[in-house]
Amino acid sequence: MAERDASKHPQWETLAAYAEGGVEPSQATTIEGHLAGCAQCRLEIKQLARFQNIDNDEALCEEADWPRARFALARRFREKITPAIADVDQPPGSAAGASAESTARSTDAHAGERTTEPDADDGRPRGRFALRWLMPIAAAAVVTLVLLNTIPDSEPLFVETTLDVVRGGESVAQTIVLESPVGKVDACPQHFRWSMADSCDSFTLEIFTPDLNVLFHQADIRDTTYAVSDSLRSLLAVDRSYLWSVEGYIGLTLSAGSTSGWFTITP
Amino acid sequence: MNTNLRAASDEELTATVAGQRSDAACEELFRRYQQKIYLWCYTYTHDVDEAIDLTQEIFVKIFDNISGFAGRSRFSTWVYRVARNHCLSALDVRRDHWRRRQVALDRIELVDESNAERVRKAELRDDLDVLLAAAGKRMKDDELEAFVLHHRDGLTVNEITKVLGCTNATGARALIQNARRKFQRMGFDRMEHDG
Repeated sequence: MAERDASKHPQWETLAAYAEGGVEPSQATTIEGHLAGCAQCRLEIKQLARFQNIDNDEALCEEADWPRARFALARRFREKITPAIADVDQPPGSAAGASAESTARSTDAHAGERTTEPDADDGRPRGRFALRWLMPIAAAAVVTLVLLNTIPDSEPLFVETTLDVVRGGESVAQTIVLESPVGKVDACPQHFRWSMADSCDSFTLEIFTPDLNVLFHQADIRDTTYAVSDSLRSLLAVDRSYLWSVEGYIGLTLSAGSTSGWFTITP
Repeated sequence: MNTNLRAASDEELTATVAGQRSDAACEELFRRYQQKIYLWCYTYTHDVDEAIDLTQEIFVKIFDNISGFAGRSRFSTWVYRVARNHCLSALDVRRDHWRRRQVALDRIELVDESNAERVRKAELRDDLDVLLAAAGKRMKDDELEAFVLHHRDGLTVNEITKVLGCTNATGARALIQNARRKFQRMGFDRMEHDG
């Protein structure tokens, strides 16, 4: 084995280009000579190859509970990542910009490809989400007032409101029509049904108690019908009113919503 | 989803995000890379929630710094670099936290062989660059690689088996043990030499 000399590591870009098959034959020979004696650079290439194909590892997907993580990440993208990148307004050289890829490791191939600092004037729609935190509060206040003024004590009724805003989502076209159950029903519903003119990849169904606590949440419904499970049935009490709403997604994008419907199971 | 975005290359999407800050292009890149990055993080954390947190942080970093992607490598290679460095940094933070706790345990003279082993691993990690440089001809290539993946990256034996293409986990475990033995011997040699 050749002597290892950390001072002669190729640049990271060169190593990456070699791994991608994008270097001249003479340069490839030089790099291969280095790789023969450098465990760190060999590992860089092997780990890069592993990264490129890691999503084909079914055993790892199962161990890492990818379906659950995928759902959680879709939510994180909407609620954390998108607002975070829209709200970033830091001067060049600030911690977030300068720390990208930073691990302060050794030089050359092991130093990481340093990114330039974020451009302070790159035309981003900054502050687009700046008032977003006000939306849930304002909407909650409006809904509370509406409910207080419209629900008689003896027979709860719910006016249709844009409750999707209360849950912190963006306002979307209310193109989903709730079909059943709506109003008073004489037995626990067997299905929740809705319809819409356009199509969505998946739907999310939410059921609320009258005080707007989420009673039930089911994501990734592939049809416009949801069969009531035993666990949901056990949550629904007779002579009590519930709100429900549906959101439609195309990919990860919230594309459609319903107004909120209500139903009461009569004794 | 816009079908044009579905058909666009990573690099075209990157240019769109950098130039117009397109949410749709961000979303498409997220869709393409979320699984790779999440699984990569999981191999470091072995914990679903921690891996989700790391994935979120990595995507924020990627989108915030996407204008720094110079196109000298493929975008997927650049993403790997960001993810890999972020995971190693997170691992360092966790190790430092653990090491501070370990000092407290040492002060009350708690004798625990498993803790002693952890201390040795931490010390080995601190000296890794020096030890690698000194490894010379004593170490076989695959032993050195397995050792680095285990002690620097905290990968499991199963994961090391996949990265190195070993036939089974027993082979990877043997490589790590051999390397550890040789490194420890080298460590003693160095100490005697320094002394």
